[in-house]
Amino acid sequence: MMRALLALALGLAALPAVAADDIVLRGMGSFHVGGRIAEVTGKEVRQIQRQPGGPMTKLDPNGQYMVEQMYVQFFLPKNRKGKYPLLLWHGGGLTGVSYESTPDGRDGWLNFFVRKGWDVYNADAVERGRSGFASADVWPDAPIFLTYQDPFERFRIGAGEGSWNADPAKRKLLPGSEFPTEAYESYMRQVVARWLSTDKAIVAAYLALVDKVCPCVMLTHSQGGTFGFQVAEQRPDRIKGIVAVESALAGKIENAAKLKDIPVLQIFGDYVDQHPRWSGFRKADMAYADAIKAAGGSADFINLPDIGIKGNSHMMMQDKNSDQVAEVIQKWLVSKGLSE
Amino acid sequence: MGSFHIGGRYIELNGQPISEMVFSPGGEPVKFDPNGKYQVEQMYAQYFLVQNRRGKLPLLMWHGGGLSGVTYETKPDGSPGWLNYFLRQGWDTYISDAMERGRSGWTDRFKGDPVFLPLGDPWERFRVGPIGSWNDDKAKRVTYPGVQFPIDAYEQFMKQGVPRWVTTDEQIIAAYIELVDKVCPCVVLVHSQAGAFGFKVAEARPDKVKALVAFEPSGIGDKEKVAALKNIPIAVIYGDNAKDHPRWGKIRQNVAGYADAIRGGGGSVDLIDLPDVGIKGNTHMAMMDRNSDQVAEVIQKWFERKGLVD
Repeated sequence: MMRALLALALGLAALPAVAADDIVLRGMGSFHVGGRIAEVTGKEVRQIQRQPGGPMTKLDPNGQYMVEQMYVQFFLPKNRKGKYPLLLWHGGGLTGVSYESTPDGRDGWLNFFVRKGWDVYNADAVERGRSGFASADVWPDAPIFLTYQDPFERFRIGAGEGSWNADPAKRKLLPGSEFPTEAYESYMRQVVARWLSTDKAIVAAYLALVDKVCPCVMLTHSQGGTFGFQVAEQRPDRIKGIVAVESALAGKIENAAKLKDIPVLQIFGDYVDQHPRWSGFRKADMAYADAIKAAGGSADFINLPDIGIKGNSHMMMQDKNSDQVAEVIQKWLVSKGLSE
Repeated sequence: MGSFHIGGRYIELNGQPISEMVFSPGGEPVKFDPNGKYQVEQMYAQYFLVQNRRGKLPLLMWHGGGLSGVTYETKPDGSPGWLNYFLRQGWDTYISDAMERGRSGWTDRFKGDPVFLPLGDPWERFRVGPIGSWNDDKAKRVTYPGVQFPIDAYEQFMKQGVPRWVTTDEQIIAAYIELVDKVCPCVVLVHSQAGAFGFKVAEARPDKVKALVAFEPSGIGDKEKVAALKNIPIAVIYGDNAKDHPRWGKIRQNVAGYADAIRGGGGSVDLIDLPDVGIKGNTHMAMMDRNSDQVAEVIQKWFERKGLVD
């Protein structure tokens, strides 16, 4: 395991010598935002066994429940250079873990951007990870779970449908793929259940986050991009920059003009042309970027292969060249005056 | 600092219907085939490695039932929790979300349904107030006199709650054992439901767990295996209003019996009731109580006495 050093500067009488890549923090912590109290009524009282071998005890599901809150963890570097906090929003079926250590054990984008001097806020969307989820009495539809092969084919790690094989030797990779396929198993341990009916609750919690910690810059991934643009359309004065990595659809074209004062960067990885689903998303995302520009705004669109960065999957924050992609983002943020 | 998932296994689903699903509103429908192999029962751990290390071994913090590693992070009232406290004391700290909770993810293939805690449940069960003291109306809630829990932040605390299953102890313990095999020798700090997990894992890996602090353990290990713990210093700590509480009194009694069995096997257990050392008003969630640093200091001093701190 890489030994990433960390020092909590506060309260230490004398700091030991700091190595060049040590992360030195002035603070770190976490909180939950948003949420509401849901009332469950008229449900049957059941008997359950709370411990194996234990007695049957009464479980009355009726009453008030805290639901739809969102978890956020933050790291505040001592040597702050980002002008605003940087919010990291993950994609569907995943959590903030997307941005932490990569599945093959390297430092991820969280550490990268903290080292660059950004106050970073990393969230787990409502229903995922440490945000918890509500019971079927509150969210009646069933969540979905991803099979082992689904992201392999859908996230452009393998060469599309049919590229998966239970035998790792027989999996068809995209040529030159930067995804650490030897760590695919570790990646799949990061996947969590998701619902398809909770977008409203997710957006409400992200709005609560923006109201709490912004003005800020947001960096979104995949489904998080959809939420990011929707939130930016509703809080354009609070969002000072948007980096959207492979949004699975951007915002509403008719609202794009609301983003005219926000610098926007959209990034796509490799192999998008040969993947019908992703080229569809990219086309729609480009149309949104065009609409922002038509309204007088600034929207940059980077296809990584066009600038010589090849082999990136949908999970580029975990690809072997993740730092190289992060550098592209960091340079853009600096060019927009958002960081020293 | 970083994180990882460990453990887990694969399961195979067959014969389920294939459907079309729209993953993003307005997005392209995707063929969704639920049949195939799934990764299940893994566990998430996040670590922070301090620069001025003083703890001789890594410190692992395991949370209680219906909660996640968030228990030890910033407190519901916004002030720093035990994670920051022990980092400042120079411990390399590993916080995990038990299998099925938080960032560990979960599967609908566990036996039975998950349990969700109603808003008022921990108020009485975690001894913010006595039995019968909860009221949906804030103004009518009663607390124990001098209680240290930040009651204005009670709703905020409830945002930390996550569903739990009551059928998954075996898988949870299996993942904790993998964690211990990966990062120990270490010192383990457990809370509530994790008490039983801590004792059982220590019994299974007595050469790797070098000390165990159990804050209000709700269960015990296997009395037949206590001899395995004879070289592991153990501290068991209970807060205020526990001894005579109908539920916690019984639990404490059960744990005290287990402590006696450990001592009978040649081991060492310090059973500390906080009110006896002059620390009053602590609930079951002492790591979130207003005097959480004071309680952490009791633990830190115990570590120092046991020679675990440079």
